[in-house]
Amino acid sequence: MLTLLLILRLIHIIAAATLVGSVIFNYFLLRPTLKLIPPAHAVVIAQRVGSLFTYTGWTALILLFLSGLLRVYYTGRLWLLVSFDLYAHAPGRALALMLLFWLLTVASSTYMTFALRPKLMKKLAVSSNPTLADVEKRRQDQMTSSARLDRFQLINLITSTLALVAGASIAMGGFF
Amino acid sequence: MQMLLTLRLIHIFSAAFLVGAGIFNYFLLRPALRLIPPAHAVVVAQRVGTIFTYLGWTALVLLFLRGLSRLYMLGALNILTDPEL
Repeated sequence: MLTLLLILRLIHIIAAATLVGSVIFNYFLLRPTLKLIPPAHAVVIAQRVGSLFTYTGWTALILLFLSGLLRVYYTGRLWLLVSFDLYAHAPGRALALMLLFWLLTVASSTYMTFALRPKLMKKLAVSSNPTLADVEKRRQDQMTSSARLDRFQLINLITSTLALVAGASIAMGGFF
Repeated sequence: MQMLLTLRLIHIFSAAFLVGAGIFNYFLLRPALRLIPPAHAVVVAQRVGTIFTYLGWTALVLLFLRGLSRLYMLGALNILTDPEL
């Protein structure tokens, strides 16, 4: 049982590290760098990295949920998640905070994956015989979608980091 | 206790950045750079590499300092020189 709990803990930690480290790298390192190369090539990189990150990000989020749930289950505290006793102690409140920020990350990722990205991809497709006005409109639409995607990436960065901070504080007795 | 918690958060945040950024760089960015001409791929790789060098080293130094200070605050710094470790 101890080995299983250790494996689940390791999966939880690696998934959290992958998610948080990746969003920081993507937002603070890759995003500003792509402005240094021509937009046509920047789009290729952003598209490819975005597609791969969709898979790794969702895998991390699902692994975080499953490993966290199984850890609570195997330690016999599953009932706590649906009880108000969870909020009676500081570690419980930190756990609830972590769950809340995980949920917010999932919500913003869902919007990005299933609404914003498909919209942006559609706008990246080139129509046959476009007029100058079509090209300009397409460029404007791309800029708008891209700016919105950036905002949601920042939201993801903040919520996943706060979930990490709340989760890391549990073992030390929480914050408040 | 608050100090130990802060140190723990710095430690975990630094480790998360190192691990996640390393994975992102190796498995996501590196293959994507092969899709654009080498001249532009080099610009991206150079810039990202430079910033990552600074941030990566900062994270590594923070990990070391945090570990040392935690041992110091727990009064267990001497175990590092103990052969029984």
